[in-house]
Amino acid sequence: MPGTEVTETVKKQRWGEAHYRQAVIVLAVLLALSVLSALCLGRYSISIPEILRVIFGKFFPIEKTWKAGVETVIFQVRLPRIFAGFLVGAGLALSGASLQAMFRNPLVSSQILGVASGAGFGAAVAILLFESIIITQLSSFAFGLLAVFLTWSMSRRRRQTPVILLILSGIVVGSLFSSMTSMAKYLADPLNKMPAIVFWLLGSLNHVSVKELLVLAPVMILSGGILIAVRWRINILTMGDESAKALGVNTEQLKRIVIICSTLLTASAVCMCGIVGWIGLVIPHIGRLIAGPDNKRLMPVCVLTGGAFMIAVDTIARTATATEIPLGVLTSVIGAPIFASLLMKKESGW
Amino acid sequence: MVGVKAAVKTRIRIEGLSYLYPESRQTVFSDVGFVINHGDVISLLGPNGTGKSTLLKCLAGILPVRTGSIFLDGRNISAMKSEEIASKMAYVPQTQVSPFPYPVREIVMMGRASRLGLFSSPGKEDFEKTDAALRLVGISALADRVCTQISGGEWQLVLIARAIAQESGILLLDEPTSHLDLGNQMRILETINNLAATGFTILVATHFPDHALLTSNRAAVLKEGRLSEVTDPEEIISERMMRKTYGVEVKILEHEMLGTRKIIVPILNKG
Repeated sequence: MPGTEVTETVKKQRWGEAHYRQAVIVLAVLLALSVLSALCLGRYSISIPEILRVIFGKFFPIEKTWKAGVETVIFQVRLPRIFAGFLVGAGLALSGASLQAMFRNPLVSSQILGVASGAGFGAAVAILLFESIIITQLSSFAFGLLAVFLTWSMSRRRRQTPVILLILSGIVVGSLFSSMTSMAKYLADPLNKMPAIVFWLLGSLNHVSVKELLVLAPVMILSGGILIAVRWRINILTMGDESAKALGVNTEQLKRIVIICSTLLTASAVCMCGIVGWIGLVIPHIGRLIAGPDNKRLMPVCVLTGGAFMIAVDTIARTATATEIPLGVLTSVIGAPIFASLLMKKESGW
Repeated sequence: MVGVKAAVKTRIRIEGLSYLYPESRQTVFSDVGFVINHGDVISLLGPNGTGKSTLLKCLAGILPVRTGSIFLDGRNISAMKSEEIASKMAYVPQTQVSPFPYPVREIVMMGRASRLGLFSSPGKEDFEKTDAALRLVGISALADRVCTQISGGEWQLVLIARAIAQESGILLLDEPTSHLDLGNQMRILETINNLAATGFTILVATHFPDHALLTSNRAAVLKEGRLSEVTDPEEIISERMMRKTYGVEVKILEHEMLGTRKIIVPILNKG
């Protein structure tokens, strides 16, 4: 094959240690920039020096030269939203990367086990029957977990969980819940409830509160941390169940860890901001273009890229127009061209 | 240890092992029993589809043992964790497909899994062991190549290197020379002989009786669900056995230039 050697040497340099360190630094800078712009921009714009002063003032006794409202905007509104955006982006990207590796399939994302469809249905029913945001969130979380539990129990055979059965069961459970969600939309009152359901299903970080973060952040950080800790073993899982087992990996235990952690990440994300598609599918691919396929490097890169991307998209969502643009729409409108341009540079494979 | 004869140390003892496909309940093999001693190189012969691979997978702990038992260093493998089995015995599959373009070094490093805890990643020692395994098999030059762009023969050597990085003393090789050209076949056989010389105990499933003669001190035939006696390959590989097992007429010759070594010459039917 002509050109093969060139590709290989390119890959060698591209995925070398030095390149990886550079990439991590660039991504960290991008993340910092997206955080800063998210703090500055909004209905009430704040200058960078003022932001630094306010944040400094929280910890050190300096003279308050800013209006009282600024502090509230920063600490009660923007920072929680930024933190939530980071957790959602990083969490969805991490769970997507782990599931793609576990299923050895590039088309997989956190939706594959039915989490998102289950959570969407939970939310739709709660919006239909109640008025409370908290009930909506709890219900979406619970139905997300229920959907994965159904998928998991449908694929158990003789104390094993073959990956192919998991995919098929996930599709069955996912489409069951999506059609029930459509039913809920169909039944909903078209003036109030239906737009609420649709808006929720498209995703927004609008109603994230500090209280919610206090509950969900530890769950997400813990599950994300566990996935990062087992990331080298996830590499081995991509060799297939038989090889992994022969290499001494407890495949059933590892699969359970991946499924539980990625489900908790996705369900928490959906619970905070509705269904944000695209990130769990595409950020891992972008990560692989940057860091190569090795999960040891890919996962940290996914955390940085997913987090930065989500914060940036959310900032655009709330500042670009007078009303908020749904996140689910923006992630794909912004993400698709980025991903397409990266794809076109790529030779083959994933 | 008590009761072990001075010279031979038994590594694996298989007793009354049978395997049925769980779905169709069809018997693959039944009542298989033999012993693998330290330093053995045993060739497992037999036509396609007689369950050679299945037998290796049972030994490696990949397929569950339901009838009969397998003892590894005196312990029943059904009661052992996969990492315990893997630390004593390495399995080299016939083929390995990697969905991701990992560098070869990363694939070989996976052999270290049974030596590392659930939450740990390979460290300096593992890198060194990996490089040593690459050197031992003679593929250091492949280390940074992308695994989806290497040939079948190179893959087989990579998988053997991965098994060596596992540091487990016993190697189970599943048809390591299938799909390879003559040059690569001979490289694999040389590698097997070198490993045997450095003290590995090896069980190899193979389609080539010639390869058994070139590498093994013992051999057996698995045919129609039954395993023959495990004995000297020169004894077991006869013109009669070749006719019965593979349905081919062969002449087994000794060429004076090769000393006492036997060679198998197939006689083709004409017309």
